[in-house]
Amino acid sequence: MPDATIHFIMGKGGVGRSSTATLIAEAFAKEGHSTILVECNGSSDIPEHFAGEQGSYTVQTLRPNIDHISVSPMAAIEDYAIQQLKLRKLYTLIFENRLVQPLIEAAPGLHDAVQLGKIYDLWMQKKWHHIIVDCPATGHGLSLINGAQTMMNIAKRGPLYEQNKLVDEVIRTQSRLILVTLPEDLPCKETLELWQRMHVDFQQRTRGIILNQWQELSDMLKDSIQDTDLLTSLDAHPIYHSAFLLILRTDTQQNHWLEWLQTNLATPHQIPILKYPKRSAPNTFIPLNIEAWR
Amino acid sequence: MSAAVIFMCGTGGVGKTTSSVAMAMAQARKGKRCLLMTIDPAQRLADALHLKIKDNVPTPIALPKDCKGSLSAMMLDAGLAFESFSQQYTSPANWTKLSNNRYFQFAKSNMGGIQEMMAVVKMIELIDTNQYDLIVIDTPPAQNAQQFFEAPEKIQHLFSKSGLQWLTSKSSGFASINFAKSIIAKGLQVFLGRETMTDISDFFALFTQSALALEHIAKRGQKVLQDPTTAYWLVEVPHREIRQLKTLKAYLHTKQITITGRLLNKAPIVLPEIPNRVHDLRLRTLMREIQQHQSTYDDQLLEQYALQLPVTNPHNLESISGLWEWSSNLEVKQPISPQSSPSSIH
Repeated sequence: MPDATIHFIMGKGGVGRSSTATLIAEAFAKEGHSTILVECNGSSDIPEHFAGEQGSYTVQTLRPNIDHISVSPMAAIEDYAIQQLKLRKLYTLIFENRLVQPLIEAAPGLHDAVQLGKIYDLWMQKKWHHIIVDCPATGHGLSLINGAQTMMNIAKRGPLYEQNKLVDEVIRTQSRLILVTLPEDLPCKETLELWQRMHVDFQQRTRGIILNQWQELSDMLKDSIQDTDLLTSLDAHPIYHSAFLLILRTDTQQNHWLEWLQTNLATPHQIPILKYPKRSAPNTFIPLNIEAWR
Repeated sequence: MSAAVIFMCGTGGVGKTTSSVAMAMAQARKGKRCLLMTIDPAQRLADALHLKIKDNVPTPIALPKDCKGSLSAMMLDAGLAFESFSQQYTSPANWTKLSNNRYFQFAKSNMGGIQEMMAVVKMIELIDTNQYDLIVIDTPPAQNAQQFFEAPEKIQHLFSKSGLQWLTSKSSGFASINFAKSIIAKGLQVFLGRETMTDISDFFALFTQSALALEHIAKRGQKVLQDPTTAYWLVEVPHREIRQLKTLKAYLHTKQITITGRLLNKAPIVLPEIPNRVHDLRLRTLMREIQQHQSTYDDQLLEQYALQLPVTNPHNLESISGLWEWSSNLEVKQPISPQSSPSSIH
């Protein structure tokens, strides 16, 4: 199996990162690529989408070609510590010590570093073509990706430094970023900020932007904008009239933010922006067309 | 009289900050002196209010003249708050050492839970000013909100007296020779590195006084969270983040926190049935298309919400006066008090 590509799905809270990660996995799986979905910080929302069991720290298969793991900081710390200390007994003695535990929990950067370490582990296993990481929201996602770097800065040298250097190297060379956003003011501004804040290496590795919750106007609605007679007769129904105006304003807004993103992300690399339709009811998904990212 | 506290909870992207502004405004309208604090590291509050809001200092917001109450807003810069808090409890000589300690510098911005820890500190400080009748707290999105509610416990755990004594004890603690030789120290060293270990032990020695103060505040914070007058509103939007919402609800339940009520933001315009007298086929089609374009919902769904903020042109929310007008939708069916709205508890 060739080296896997790690896809980091990033974005502000509530923009639909988990759904996007799932849709991307489904798109790859359909082409016969084996994928694993990684959820961070102990969250485990994806298996439910497949009507699966509760996710856990062990890899489980949700569908042919779609595996899943839910990584939590504490499980990753245990995993890592046991690897480093070689002995489970020693781990129990040290890390389950009532006084040491809060210290470990509060250690700066450790949560991110061990979770990133687990992603590196999965990459080393060479079992998958694609590792799809459902990152925590914006700032927390950034600190996850930079977790190994943060650890290197703290440790300065020694085994911890060396270990994280390996992780960092793989993360920086083998990963792609997919930014998920909504066609609205704050999410778009945050996306641009996120994109700008990424390390130079990552900027060039941004594979695409997903503009989620896009509300395409039907042809009928589009045509009625020009139809003065029709609109005059709609005046007699004030609630419908204001709903119609709201639909038009929302449409203007979303097109404005699409253009805004296109303008601001134009240089030096054109980033494909993919519109994904708003769901009209919960749990209705349309497959994601990832053709543009090839 | 001490200030009442309202927590605005919810998953990300539901407009929690804007809803919090509306909630605080609705209470100011009733004559309350309100303070709105946002814990989110993003600049959302300043963006929502289109104002310069200072970090860690309440900024008064100008409301219409006939409003009896008042509103101030504040954003939290946890790193800065942590620094000034520590300085307050450290002698000038030790402060120089502490502020140069590498672990302290990392802790300031990266320590797990620092955001939440300082939010609790600020909340208590604000209550103690006695300048407010009500403090509305815009919590971070679902997952981090859990960290917020756990902060008081964690602080007490991390800085408990016995733990601190052990850590800083000359004979057996982190800094002692015996400890350095111990298997625990060796194990930790493999994990964290020698320099970090030294930094950590220095940090805890210098931080003792601040830690004791933090522990005291944490206890008070926990009381506020459990106080029966403290209200918890759940902010939602139609058809989004259903799964995370479930998790959040289950979590609040395990913490024995009763949700005061649910607030639906971006509530859809309720369209009446298309009247039979509309015979124009094209008009009927247009009206049906308008119906279809809106989110699907039913009356039963809407009835679950004690409060609703209607979907509106985003442009309307770009000014204080626009927000003020929008907040009038929160003229509540039920008064905001946890005991009096059992019907809205889900």
